[in-house]
Amino acid sequence: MRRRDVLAGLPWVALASPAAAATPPKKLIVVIANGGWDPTMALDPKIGVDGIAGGLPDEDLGDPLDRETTAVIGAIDIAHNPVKRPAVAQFFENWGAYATVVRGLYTSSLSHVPCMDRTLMGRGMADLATTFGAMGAWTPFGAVDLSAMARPGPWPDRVSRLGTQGQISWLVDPATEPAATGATVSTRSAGPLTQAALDAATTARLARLDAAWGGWGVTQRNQLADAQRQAAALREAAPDTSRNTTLQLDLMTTVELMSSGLATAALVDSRATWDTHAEAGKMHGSYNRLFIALGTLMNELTLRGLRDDTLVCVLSELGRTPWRNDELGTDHWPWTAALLMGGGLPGDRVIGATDDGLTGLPVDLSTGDVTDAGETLQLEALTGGILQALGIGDDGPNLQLT
Amino acid sequence: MILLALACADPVVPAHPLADPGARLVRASLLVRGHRPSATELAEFRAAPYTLPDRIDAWMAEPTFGANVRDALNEWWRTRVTHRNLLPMLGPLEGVDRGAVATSLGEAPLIFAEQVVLEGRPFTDVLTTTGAWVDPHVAAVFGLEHDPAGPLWQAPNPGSRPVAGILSVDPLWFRHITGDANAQRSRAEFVYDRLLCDGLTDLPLPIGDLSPASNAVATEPACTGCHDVLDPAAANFFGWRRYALQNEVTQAYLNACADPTYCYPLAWYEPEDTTGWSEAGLPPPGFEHLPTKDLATFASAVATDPRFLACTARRLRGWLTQTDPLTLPSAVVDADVATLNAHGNRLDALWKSIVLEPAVTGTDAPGPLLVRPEALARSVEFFTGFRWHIDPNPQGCTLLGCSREVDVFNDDLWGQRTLAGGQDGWDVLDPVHAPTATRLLARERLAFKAADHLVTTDFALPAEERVLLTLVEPSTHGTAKVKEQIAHLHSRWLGLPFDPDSEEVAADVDLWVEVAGHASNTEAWRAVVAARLADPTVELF
Repeated sequence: MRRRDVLAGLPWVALASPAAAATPPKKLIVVIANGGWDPTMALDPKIGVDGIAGGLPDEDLGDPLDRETTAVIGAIDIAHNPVKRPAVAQFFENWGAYATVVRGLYTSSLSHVPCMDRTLMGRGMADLATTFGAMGAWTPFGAVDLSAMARPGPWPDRVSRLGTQGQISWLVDPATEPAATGATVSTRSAGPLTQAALDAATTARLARLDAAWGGWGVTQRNQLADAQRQAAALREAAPDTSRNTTLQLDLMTTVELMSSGLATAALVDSRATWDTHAEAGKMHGSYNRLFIALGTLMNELTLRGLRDDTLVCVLSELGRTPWRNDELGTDHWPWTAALLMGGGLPGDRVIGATDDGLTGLPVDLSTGDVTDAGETLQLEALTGGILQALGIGDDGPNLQLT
Repeated sequence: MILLALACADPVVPAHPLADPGARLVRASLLVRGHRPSATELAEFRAAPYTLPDRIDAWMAEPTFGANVRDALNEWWRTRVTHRNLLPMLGPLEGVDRGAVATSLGEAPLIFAEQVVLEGRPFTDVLTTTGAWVDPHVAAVFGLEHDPAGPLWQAPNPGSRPVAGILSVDPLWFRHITGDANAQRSRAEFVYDRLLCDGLTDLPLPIGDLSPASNAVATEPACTGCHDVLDPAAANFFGWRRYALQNEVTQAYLNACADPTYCYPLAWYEPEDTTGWSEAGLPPPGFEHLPTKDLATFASAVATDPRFLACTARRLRGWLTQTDPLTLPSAVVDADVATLNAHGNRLDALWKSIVLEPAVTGTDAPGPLLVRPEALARSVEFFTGFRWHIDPNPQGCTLLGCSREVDVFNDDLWGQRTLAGGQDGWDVLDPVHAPTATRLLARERLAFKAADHLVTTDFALPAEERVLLTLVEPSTHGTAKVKEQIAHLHSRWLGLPFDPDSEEVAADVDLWVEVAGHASNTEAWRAVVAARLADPTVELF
């Protein structure tokens, strides 16, 4: 389906106004902490609250520095441990002015898959990155998926999977291709001449199919023609993801593709352990690595002049129980938190809250203020708010972020 | 007047692509066997296009139908998770290819169900007969017998495991794991979601007190609606271990298997644990508010639940027509269930019935289908003899082992399955039925490599022993021979009528001449063969 077909078929979508088109096109990076994180160990501090473990059980009493504390940085309070998770506070020191923390998000489920659907898709038909890749400013790829978690919905042709091990590299650059077993084939590429001939042959074949098939399969043929153009752009860009084994490298690839004008949106896996049914203490390291990578990302976006045009959303589909289980782990909990940065959003703020039982408090969606007269903050309201902040919206009850 | 008549003439409406017997046979073959037909089959079918029902019967006796059945069942049951089924290669698995073990674990439940289909048994047998099938890898991991002198896959004595079809297949629960707090509910949900098309986890969770003291699953009215159904079903699965982590196995060997639980064979099914539901706070085992004696009676109850055959029908039609099974109209599903019932609930009978429909392989077909990566790889192998395997670890393995031979189009840890449009069964839960850039790149790369293989091997053989290039030599320059050879390629691979003077052949002759002029004849053959192996009509069929 070509973009114009998509737009024609979706009355619920309102693109950015023509006036907005004069400003640089927005970009979206969604980082997903896949597995369900414990907000009380970073974004939603509950130090000293009875019944909420957070990182307390992991303190090394022999190390006076290894203590769980609440750090207040600007208007944002976070859970801090200078030994186990120093990068969290460091991140907010550097970038808190551009950060919005959202607390008390209700997942409506305790199972990974439906929670991930709601986290990534909200009320939409595809995940946030794919939706924005289809609807935002046109780029060859639309969205890129480095997580394998894209929900392409009606726009499978607007999201390119790059492979969790960076397999895209050896499709566009055979020099990085693992050797084939057996001696009859080489890793050499087609070569420019043969590749050009192949492209021309495909184009000519599609043209002949137009005549032979008429209206039959016209949508797929158009998608194929688009895919051919995207593939050529991918070959040209030749993103080297062959050594991408960390979030940091994935984010750098993402920024590179966006800077080159190839991608509008990206979905990236945090590549960290969050689903800690046993040994919840593993999450300290996960948080530390996550925030180091996010700091690098913000730095890179700033250096390239992309920070105010690029909205970074860090989401996790679940929270964790306030208590530790028999294996010192934490199980699924239906209240989670999120972190939004850049994209021209106001920063240095917290939206929503949880009570001492780690249950979300009602908020006024139009202001983000906690109020008894408000409503439960659903994931759908957050994702709707994110799309609205990017200039795409529907009439649903969205959290106002701008 | 003549000009006026021409202007008013009806525009030429192209014939429906599936009106061509060749195109029809290609589609039917891909849907039944997961690969394109041979040149002989195409020629015979063009002469006798009324023979499709008989051909389907013959195809269903071929091994590739079984492979295609497994492809379909994998899409439903999501067992091929080669990037997740990773175990350390220690003890009896020392020196074994880690990827091969992961592949075996994913294949075992499918092999069992394939046997049910190939033997013409009712599909309900996948729940009511002994499900254990093992190769040496599965046997070593789970402690089942395997005779090295026998066939690769064997049905061993399942020991104390209940007779519950796939629900008693150890590797299925290696894929579909549970946790202590989950208390086997995820496995019960597998039954509701994958086998009955009536999943429970999509239902919204009510807001309430979820502390352990509240015991909300039993006391909170908004929770009990689901848990009254889910929890008794979950209680049937006690006996199977929750999961096995790589480091649990490694640690067990580091401790010299003092606790043998996580040494091979894994202590995976423990009959004495079948009453563990009580300790976990679950109600007694049951299904739909009726008590069940054990997993066998549970599986039998699932098999006789009308939703099972309806779900089977939905999933099969959805797979064949590449539509969301849950969106199929009830009337269509009812008709398919009636077809199943009329044929002793045989899945192959429904398969054939759907494939023969005019809306599937006839001129009522609404649009092209997209070739799945598994079928593309199988088609290319059928035609060229080339299967793309790579060695991702040429430097060798660590002590815990690694993969040394990966099937590129059937793997996600190292391979290209999801980039080529497939599912990985864990994160990518459904295939993509639309052309994409990475799908095109993967298809072209496979085509180029297969062409490289075909041209190299063919020109190394006497002409009469070659697969394709029987009419030319690397030194052949004459356009007539080149044209005839290309026409053969079009006929044998694409299923087009043999016509050396067609527009399509002429275009490829131009391609051949261009590349030969700049490089070599051999390179020109690589380009032409690659172009046709990657032809758009190979993707859209």
